[in-house]
Amino acid sequence: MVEKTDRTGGSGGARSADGRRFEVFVREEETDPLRHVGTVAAPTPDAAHEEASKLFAWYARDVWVCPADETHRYSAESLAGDEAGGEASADADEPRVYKETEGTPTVSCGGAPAADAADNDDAEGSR
Amino acid sequence: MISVSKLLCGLDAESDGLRYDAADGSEKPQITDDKQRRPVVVWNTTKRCNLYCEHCYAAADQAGAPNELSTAEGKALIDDLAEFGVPVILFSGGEPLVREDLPELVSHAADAGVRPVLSTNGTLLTRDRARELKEAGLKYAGVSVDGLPERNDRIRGEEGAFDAAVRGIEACLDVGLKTGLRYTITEHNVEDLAGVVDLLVDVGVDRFCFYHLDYGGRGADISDVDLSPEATRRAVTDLCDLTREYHEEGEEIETLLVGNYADAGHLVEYADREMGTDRARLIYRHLERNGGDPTGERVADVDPVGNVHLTQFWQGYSPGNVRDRSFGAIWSDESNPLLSGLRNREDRLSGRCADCAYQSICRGGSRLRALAAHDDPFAPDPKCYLTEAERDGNAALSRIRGGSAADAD
Repeated sequence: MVEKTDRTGGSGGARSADGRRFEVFVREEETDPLRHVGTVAAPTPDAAHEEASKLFAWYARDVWVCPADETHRYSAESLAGDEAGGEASADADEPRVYKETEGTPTVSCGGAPAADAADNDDAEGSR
Repeated sequence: MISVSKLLCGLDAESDGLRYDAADGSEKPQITDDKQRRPVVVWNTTKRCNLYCEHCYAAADQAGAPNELSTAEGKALIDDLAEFGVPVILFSGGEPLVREDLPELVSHAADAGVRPVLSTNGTLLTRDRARELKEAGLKYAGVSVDGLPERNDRIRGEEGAFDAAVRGIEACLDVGLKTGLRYTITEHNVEDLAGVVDLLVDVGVDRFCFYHLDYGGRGADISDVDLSPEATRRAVTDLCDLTREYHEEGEEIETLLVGNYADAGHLVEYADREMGTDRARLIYRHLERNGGDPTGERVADVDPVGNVHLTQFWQGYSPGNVRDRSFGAIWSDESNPLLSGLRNREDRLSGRCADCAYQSICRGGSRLRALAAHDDPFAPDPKCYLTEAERDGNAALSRIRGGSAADAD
């Protein structure tokens, strides 16, 4: 039996030191896959699109943005393993639960709760 | 970073190996050529700060950020940087001294073979803390002072901040920790520059690092008090004069410029005018090896929650987070079109930067200021202060190359 990847959702929690951030995905041509290219700081999706467009307008056909704090991330690795601290550590030890049924693992949602976007907006500095 | 003192006065400096090829004949330790291919990493260990400076690129405040990297995560990050071959980690903030685990992190970096240095406002540096950090392996402390007492305290938002910073500098010097000044030049403090150097030389400081304002964080909010190109040119010329005067008097102070690679072209022009074409040619060759603006190449930043940035000033964009994958994996991923574009920026620079004769030693200057001014990371840096003749190669470069600008390259 092939051993399935054991992923946890321990890398959740706030992803911005200053206001909201958005994950950015771009597609160069219609037939290309959507590619993750990082995050931008912005208060709203439209502002995030505008920021991303400045950086990737010369390149991308499509730009998608997604609130970084509302992205649930599951990985086989984490920065400090079980020793990870901060909000991320709250769920770092939560076991991954999956059922070996037809071969596709069902992964538990172990990510830390998304930070309240309104709180982040209140904390926003100059951006 | 450009060492004015080395280029104009031939001063050896411990970190020159990071800015140039390992300095030939230097008697001081040099960082190897091999490690220079990796970036110096600024780690904003926290967003918390006991001051509130008007130009803070990190927009630091007393509250800090939620979900900052823990001690364990910080150590894992340092291990990650060491594995990637990062030569230097600059512990910054916010104010890094508000983190109680700072000595532990410094010690971990020293043990991992990553040279630990510190950027601080100095106000929390007592002799005991300075000694503890030195014993942990800290190699250098850069203390921010932005004017004589009145102006500094106004800029830093706290009465008494100047005196506290000077006490911090004295504490470092007392325990034998190499210490320098960091000074961000704006209209608010340009008049104090020479006075601060005079005062701190008397205190015992021999390293002065001058930053041009970059338009990140609260720095973007005060771009209207940034020096004009003409005023910048005068300030840099004054700094060159000041450095040479100190050296002629036997005071071997080290002066550095950060954040505007128009300085590189200006230094060549200055040397040609004041010291002769042979010296200007030597400086030009040093600066060619230096490689110009380091954004996305020779400098990187990790913010308090793990986002990687292309310089410490450019916090608005991140190509990835070290909680998701290693710093080396993020930094090496040239499928990222912005990262690869910056590393091949000669193909993308536009306007007056596209055909500037000094492009090989400047590389377009600050891409963040270009973005702030023109909404385009490959547009011209609005803070370029070279003249049209200088940019066209019709001034010093025509003499350095022994012919017309058409001989360039």
